[in-house]
Amino acid sequence: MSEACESLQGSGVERKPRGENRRSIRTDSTGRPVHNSILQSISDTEYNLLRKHLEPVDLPQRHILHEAGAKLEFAYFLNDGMASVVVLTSDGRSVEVAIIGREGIVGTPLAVGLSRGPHRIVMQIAGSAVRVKSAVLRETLQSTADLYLIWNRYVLIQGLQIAQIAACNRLHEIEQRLARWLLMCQDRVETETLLVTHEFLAQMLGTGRPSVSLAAGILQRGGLIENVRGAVTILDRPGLEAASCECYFVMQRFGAVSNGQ
Amino acid sequence: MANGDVTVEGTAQLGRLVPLLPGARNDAAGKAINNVILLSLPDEEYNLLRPHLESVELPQHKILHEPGEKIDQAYFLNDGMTSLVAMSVDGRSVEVGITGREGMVGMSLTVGLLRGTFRAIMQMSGSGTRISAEIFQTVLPCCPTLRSQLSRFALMQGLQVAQLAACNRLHDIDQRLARWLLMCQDRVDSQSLPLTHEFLAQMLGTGRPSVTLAAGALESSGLIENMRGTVRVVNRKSLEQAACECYAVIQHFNGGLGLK
Repeated sequence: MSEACESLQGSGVERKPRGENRRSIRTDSTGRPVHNSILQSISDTEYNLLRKHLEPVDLPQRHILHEAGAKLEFAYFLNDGMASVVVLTSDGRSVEVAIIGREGIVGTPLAVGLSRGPHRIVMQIAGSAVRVKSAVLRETLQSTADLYLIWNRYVLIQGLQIAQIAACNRLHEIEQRLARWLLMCQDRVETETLLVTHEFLAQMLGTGRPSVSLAAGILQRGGLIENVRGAVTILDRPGLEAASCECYFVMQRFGAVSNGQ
Repeated sequence: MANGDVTVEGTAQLGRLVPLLPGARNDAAGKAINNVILLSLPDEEYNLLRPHLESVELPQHKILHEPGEKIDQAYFLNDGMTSLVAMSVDGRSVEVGITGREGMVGMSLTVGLLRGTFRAIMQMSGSGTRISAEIFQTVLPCCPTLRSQLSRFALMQGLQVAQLAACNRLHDIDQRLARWLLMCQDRVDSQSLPLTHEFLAQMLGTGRPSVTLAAGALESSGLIENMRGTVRVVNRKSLEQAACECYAVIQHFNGGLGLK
């Protein structure tokens, strides 16, 4: 008991992740650099256990990483781009309940022994990742105490994000929610132009396409964004922040916590 | 990597979580424990916690945590039900999660977040034990099974909340009200639920008139009966049909927590 206690306390996981202090750039099994915050936060020893199993993958927009109800074949650690966690209802409608970028993990249920996930996880903005087979991950987690704790910390923070979106979906207007979504998306891609159609935004925001187009029109007339075919360009970020509901800032705070700030 | 082994031994056990029978343990004051997480711990971990577990009665509408305020205590319910409620700056609110005897209230403490984001309020009165935040955080690193159990709960709760996030957006108030009444009844084992329409409106994130309208529709169909400050479930089977699919989905997640 006490041995476990001391070593857990000594693991440093409850304190700031080591990402900022790391000396060398981490690479995957093929030598490509790894930018995922979780993988940057674990110790060298643990990273080296995982490294040979980390397979790089390019993830085009709309690529489905995981289908609702299917077996979780891989866990993904995004380097860039953004994935959406989407709940599908039996009448064919959908709504986004969380987003995952390089700060997170796709396949969180694996760490608590679940082999299936109930949600669709789809690439919203193209990017790349490293992935590891579920069985390998489960086995590796037995000897990576840091990763296990950081993983669970991420699960809890993601839960807070989902709860905030649950409230937002109910209480806030479509313009506010659209502004919030565009900001959250831009935070993860660092470009001003986001390649998203109104149709796709409607599926994420759980509403009809006309409502999205109306809301996007309002934001455009306010000079905050520009709608072009298949893309939205952010023109005035502070203005967009003012147009968003408070949920954006609440979730930004969660992000800071998950980075150990 | 000995500590890794210890940590994950707990994880391996999670797939076949077998808590002790309710009442097999008692708190520092000798009162029976009915909380699934506390009943699932090995003796050595429970004995570390036990001296610090204080019995508390939790009357309806008691606020356990307020958003933005320090979380002083973590709560393990024996019975009753807590709602996690998001409060918007404009004063509106909506429920974003439920915790009963399957979980812990104050989960942010497990990752060192000392202030809550949501209001935790007793929806159905009950009782439980509580432990001070400071002691909880000191003891947690010494309790790998507790940590694993809480991690599992956090994940399952996340799935439940995700379903609520979709439900809040996509389903009608009648369906959501039916879903809510069922989830509530699952945790209290009584036909009569002491709830006002005003309170239901705050949980469902809508106005009171909409709730009254929806409750009226469910009553006309013979599913529930509305009385002053009470909703009585008359026909549970039909109420399940009136609810959206989210009820069955969430019930499935709860099964994974040893609740039903």
